[in-house]
Order: sequence, then structure tokens, then C-alpha cells
Amino acid sequence: MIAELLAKVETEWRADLEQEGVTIRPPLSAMKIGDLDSMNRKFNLLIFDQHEKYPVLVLRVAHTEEQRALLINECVVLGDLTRRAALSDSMPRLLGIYEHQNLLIAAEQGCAGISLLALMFRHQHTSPVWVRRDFRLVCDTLHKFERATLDGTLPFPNPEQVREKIVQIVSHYRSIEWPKGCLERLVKIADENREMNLPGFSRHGDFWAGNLLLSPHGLRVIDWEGYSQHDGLFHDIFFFMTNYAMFYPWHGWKKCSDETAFKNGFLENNWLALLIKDTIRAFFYKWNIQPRAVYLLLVLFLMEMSLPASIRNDPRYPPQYDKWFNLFQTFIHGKPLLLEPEPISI
Amino acid sequence: MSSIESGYSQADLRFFLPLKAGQLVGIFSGSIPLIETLKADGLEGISLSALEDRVVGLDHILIPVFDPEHECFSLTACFQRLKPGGWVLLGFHNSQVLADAFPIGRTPTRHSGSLHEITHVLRRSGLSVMHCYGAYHDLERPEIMVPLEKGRATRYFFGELALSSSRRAAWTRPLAIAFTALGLQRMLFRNLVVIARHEGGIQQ
Repeated sequence: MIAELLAKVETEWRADLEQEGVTIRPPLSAMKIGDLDSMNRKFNLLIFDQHEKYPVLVLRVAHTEEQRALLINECVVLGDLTRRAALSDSMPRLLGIYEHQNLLIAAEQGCAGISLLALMFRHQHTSPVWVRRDFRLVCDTLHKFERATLDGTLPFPNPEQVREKIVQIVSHYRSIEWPKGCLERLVKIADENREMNLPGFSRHGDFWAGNLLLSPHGLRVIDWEGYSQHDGLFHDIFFFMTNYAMFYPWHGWKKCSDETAFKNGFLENNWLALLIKDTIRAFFYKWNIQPRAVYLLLVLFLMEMSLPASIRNDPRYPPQYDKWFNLFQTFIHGKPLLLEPEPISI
Repeated sequence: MSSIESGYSQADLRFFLPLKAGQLVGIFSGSIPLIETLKADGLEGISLSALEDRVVGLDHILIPVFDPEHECFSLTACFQRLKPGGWVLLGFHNSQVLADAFPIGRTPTRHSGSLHEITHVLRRSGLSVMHCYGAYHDLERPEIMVPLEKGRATRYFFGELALSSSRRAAWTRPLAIAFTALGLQRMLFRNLVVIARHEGGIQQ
């Protein structure tokens, strides 16, 4: 079947693709990449010719109804967002959608670059100078995306909604040890911000270092199938930062547990934790959101990821929500110095 | 069949063959997802170990992991069941890997032969190797299948993709890219998958 798809690219689909600016120079070869951890086992074919260093084309192939729905969502998003000038350089271009036998195939422009995750794995871009530069690039891109998709506002979570989320967590996990004053603080922050409105923009849905490609031309965000509209909870920035902390090589080449890595990135006093704090603060200041409110939004994000319904946000197998629950517990039991939920009295 | 079951990456190997509904496929694999997905695609799968002396003409043969010390059949006898024009997918542990220096995939417990030896066995059965892939992580979980005919894809695999985070991976990566430039990409993978096509009768 893969050979048949290559033959289609070389013949039947070639004119369409060349009209979209992709030069097809046979013979082509295909690298198949399947996501072992995903419950939606779509696969990608990176198409290479004999001239280019990077894939000239990416075929995203869906072979079940569930995958088709996700892929169609991605195609609609790419078609819509790449028409907006502010975003056209930050995402792959959709070149065409094709059917072959029972498969739905989206042809996307191949993106040059190396993922931020790969750089971290190689201990590149891990010094303060590089991390600061990468955070700026990532936040600028995310901010641009949020501005471009801004559509109205959403109310800040009120105390009732916070209590409801707490009930959900408690009913699922039963044995939660809440630190003294934690629940009251969360409800209090919600009450303090009762009048606040959050910007209503879209979410990429899987905004982590593995989906961010860096090249001399800037940063491109790939894998848009988890996109959804009206996300007032800043899922993308929190997902990026928490995952960044978890994948950062804290102990050199030695492995580090998720909890320890998260703790290092969000609760300990070190240069990266301070940089993460400053970056998150600066990101939210652009939306006029104060650190105490950010603290509550981060706790709500961790709670949301800890519930079984979060499989929508993180569709990996086995499901990851237990891992997120551990991070949530780590966070509420740590000293919340970095986001300073209480005003500093001088 | 639950969509969140693991172990489906081996089932994805079926996409490397030009399968059509109604065709007969000889399978040697314990992968239940592979057998179930073939059935779901409208193909009839026959276990190669259950073939014995039955005379059947197979349209395709799928052997995701060939282990010569383990198998109770010979490859040559197995390929004799293939119809002219039929296809074979054969995964094996490469014995000609460059000094086992490259941490690409898990170390197999034993080797099945070199690409040269496997190609020779296939040729003797009238099969021509059409494509060759390096399988990462391994043949049980072939998450990434790298085409090895030319070096571009292999170079991209070593140069740009996120692989393991280890000191060994860090120092072998530039070497692997250099070997790729010399056209030695087939010797960088411990696990290889060949796709071969039956061209006619058995050569004597």
C-alpha cells in the first residue's frame, strides 16, 4: 500500500502538489512513523526524494473512522489558520486531501528543522542562554497564535467551578492529602478574580517540545489534530512548560523521574525554575493576568489532566492521567514560591 | 478489538504489502492485533506453522520476526507456497551490524543472518528484494521504518529525529551520519525488514 501511495504521488497527485509549490522528483522513498503511545493509531509517511535533506512532503494517513475524524479536524484547522498571514510561517501548509482504498490521506508540506525535544535529548539548547532564547521564540509563536484566534472572552473560573473540580478529583482518587489551607486558598483566588474575563482563543492541544520544529527560519508547530476552539484555561502554555520541565536533562545522561523533574522545574530554587516562572509570568502579563490567578489556572490545569477525561488532551496508551495526578500532588504539596500565590509583604 | 490496545505497530507492517480483500496471507507471528486487523481488512490469514503439507497458493507471506533457531519451517519451503507475483515481508535481526556500536533498537538475543544471506535465500526462491527498511525500536515494535535504498532518509533519522537520550547515542550519532554518507546505512540497524516479490518459478 505504501508503494502504491508513492506511485500516486509520483503520477496522479503530482500535478496538484506541484501547483502547491512542491517539486516531486522521483524516485521517492517513504519513512513510516507510527505513534506507539497513541490510542489513535494514525501514521505518517515522510516522503524523501534524492535531492532534499528534509522530507519534501508528509502524508498523514488515517485508516479508522476515529482517525479520519481527527485528520479532517486537522485539515480544516490547517486550511483555516494558514490563510492568516500571522500564522502562515508557523505551521505546515496543507497541500491536498486524498482518498485511496479505505484510507484518508492529508498531504502536508514537509517542514525543515529539528524538534526542541530532540535538541533536549542531545543536551543541546539546554544552557540558560539557549533556554531563554527558545522560551522567547515559543511564547512569541504561541502568543501570535492566541491573538490570531482570539474570539470573545470567557469568565475566570468561579469558586463554584473550583469546588466542582475539587469534588471530581476527590471522588476519583479518594485519598488526597490536601495541605493545610490549600483548598481555601484556591477558592479564595477564584473569588478574588470573580470579575475577571479570560481571552477566548483556540488551543493547539498537543503543544509540547516534540511538536515544535526549530530551524534557522524560526519555529514551526506541527501535529494540529488536537486543535479546539475556545480554550480559556491556557492549556498550551501549561502543557508546554510542564512537559519541558519533565524532559529537561536535569541529571545529565541519567534518567530523572517525572515527579522530580517537575519539582525541579516548578518548585525548586534553580535557574531553570526561575526562568520558567519568569516566562510564565511574562506570558500572562501580556493578557493582564496576575500571578495569583496564574497559580489557580495552573492548579486547575493539573487537576484537569489528572482526570480520566483528560485522555482527550493526552491520548496516549497507557493513559497518563495517573502521572498527572502525581504532578498535581507534588505541586500542591510544594512551596508555591515560584508563582507567588500570596502577595509579598515588604 | 479495543483501539487503545498496545502492540499495534507490528500490525501496521501490513501497509508495506499491496494487500487486497479476499487474498490469502501466510502469517508467522504471534501478534494477535496483526491477525485481527488482517481479518478486519477482509483477508484470510493462515498460520505458516499450521500449513504443514497442505498445498495452497499464498498471495502474500508476512514474517515480522524471523528467528531461524526458533522456527519449525524453512524459509525456502515456505516461499514455495507463494503464487507467482506474490509478496513477502520478512523481518530479521541483522548480523552485519557495524560492530554493534549503534544503539539503534534493542539488542536481539540472536542474529538471523545478514541482508546478503537473506537476499540470497530469497533469490533462490525466485524472489527479488524490492525495498529494505531499518526498524526502530525493534521488530516487535517497529515504530519507525527507515527506507535504506538511499542515504537521505537515514541521515534525517540520525540527524533530526528524537531518539534515545544517552551518552552513547550522542557520540555514535555523528559516526552514523558519516557511515550513511559512505552508503553503509544498511549496516547501522540491528533490525531489518525486506519486502520481496516473487518473479516466477523456483531457480535451481
